[in-house]
Amino acid sequence: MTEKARLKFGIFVIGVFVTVPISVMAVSLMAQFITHFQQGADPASIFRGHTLTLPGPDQARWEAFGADIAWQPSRPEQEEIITAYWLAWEALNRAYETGDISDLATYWSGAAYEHAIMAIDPQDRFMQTHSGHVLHLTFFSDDASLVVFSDPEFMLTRLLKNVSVSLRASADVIMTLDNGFWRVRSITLDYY
Amino acid sequence: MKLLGVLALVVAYVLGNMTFALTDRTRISVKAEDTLYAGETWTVTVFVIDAEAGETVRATLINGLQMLRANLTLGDGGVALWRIPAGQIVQAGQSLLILRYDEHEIRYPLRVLPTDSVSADLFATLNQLMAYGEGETTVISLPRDEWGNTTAGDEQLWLNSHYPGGHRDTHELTYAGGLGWLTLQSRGGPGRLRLTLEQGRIVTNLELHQSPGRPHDITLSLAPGCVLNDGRDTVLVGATIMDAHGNTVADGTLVTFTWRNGQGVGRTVDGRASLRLPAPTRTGWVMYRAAAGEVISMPEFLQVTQGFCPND
Repeated sequence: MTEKARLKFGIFVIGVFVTVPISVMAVSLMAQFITHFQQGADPASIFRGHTLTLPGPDQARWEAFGADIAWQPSRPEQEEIITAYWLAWEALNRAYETGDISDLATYWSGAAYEHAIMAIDPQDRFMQTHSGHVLHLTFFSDDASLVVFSDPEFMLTRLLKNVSVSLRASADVIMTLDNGFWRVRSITLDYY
Repeated sequence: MKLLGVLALVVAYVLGNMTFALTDRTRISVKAEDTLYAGETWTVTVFVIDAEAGETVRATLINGLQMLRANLTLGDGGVALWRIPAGQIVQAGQSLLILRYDEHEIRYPLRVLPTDSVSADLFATLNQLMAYGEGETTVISLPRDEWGNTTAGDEQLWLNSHYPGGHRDTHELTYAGGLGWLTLQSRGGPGRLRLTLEQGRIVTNLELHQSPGRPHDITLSLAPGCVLNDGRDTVLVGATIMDAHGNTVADGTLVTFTWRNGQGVGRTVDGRASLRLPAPTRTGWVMYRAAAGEVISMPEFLQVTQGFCPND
């Protein structure tokens, strides 16, 4: 093989070793790009990329369903409601911490949303954690679009200028099913 | 002696701690109303024993989802004033005032009451229910004060019902957790069911619809009843659907027509559905039927003849 041919062959081999991996990477990235837009969305991810994960029993659980209540939520409905309630508090805590209210509309509506907006001050941020929600059903509509429950004793902890403040609280809550997602429509809080 | 000395030290230590605790607890005191209506002004007077003028008390009021904070500067005698203007403490429930001076803290509860209802959302889980007492819906009311709080429920919620045919009734709603509800059964025939909610000075209206019952009788008709077999005629097949009370069924009720080797569908308007079909060409008798819901009509027969129809 002449020098010229050898040189050309060498360039060809080097070219193959460089081009093949680059082509594979490019195809992979293109596939990921296309896949991202093919994935379905749950209602909450229209606003944010949330996963509807059921809270643990020490975080939130149902406890009481009165025998005299005519309509009661099914097990999947109970899980949807309690998850949405837990995430509503999570969204509120994020808003307290960041001052960003854009996520609140996913989980809060009506008068409760107005109260939540009023509570966020970007100039006065703090951290808050919550736990120990135990839900007692008061009312569930026959079309499964409205639920009323009490949350008689849960814990809030706020970190205000490096001072931790623990609060015991109870809540009377009304949630409604809007556009396929449960939102807190009304909440009345008592602190101890 | 040594034992007595140790015992004395222990007692002194315990007594000292108790004294400190009592002093700590009474170091800060508050004078304020413990109840107010949402939106009202609230004034808090804070007293701190042995504090000097110019020192600061950190005050935090947790009201509903919101938090109001202030640094109160003590004046002579260790007194500070916090005046929260109207329109700030607006969320009903039990709020909590937390006062901190150095390492000392006290908490003071404040009951915030909702004001009178100014509006009420009224809606039903079903806007259309079957008439004659065969249908029911849950009517729900969410009364609110001017600040968006659920009202106390001290006032009764009355629902006035005006049924088709003129019958009127009054029901009291059950109220719990900020919501009033009532399971309402239909009454009388099809038509408008008008509801009026009264709570104090609040009056809210809602209109539902009572629909006719399920299909019960089908009357089938053929026009004409006899055709020639030349394939140039058409046949109008009609069905009138009534419910068990003699009223026409709801518009849009699906009706299925069947005949020899054929089927077609129509929907009712004013209780009647019809199809215009090409006439069969094979001489003889052709049976037609109509079905709606679980009801099937008696058959009607079309005569297809070669010569002439009897009434021509």
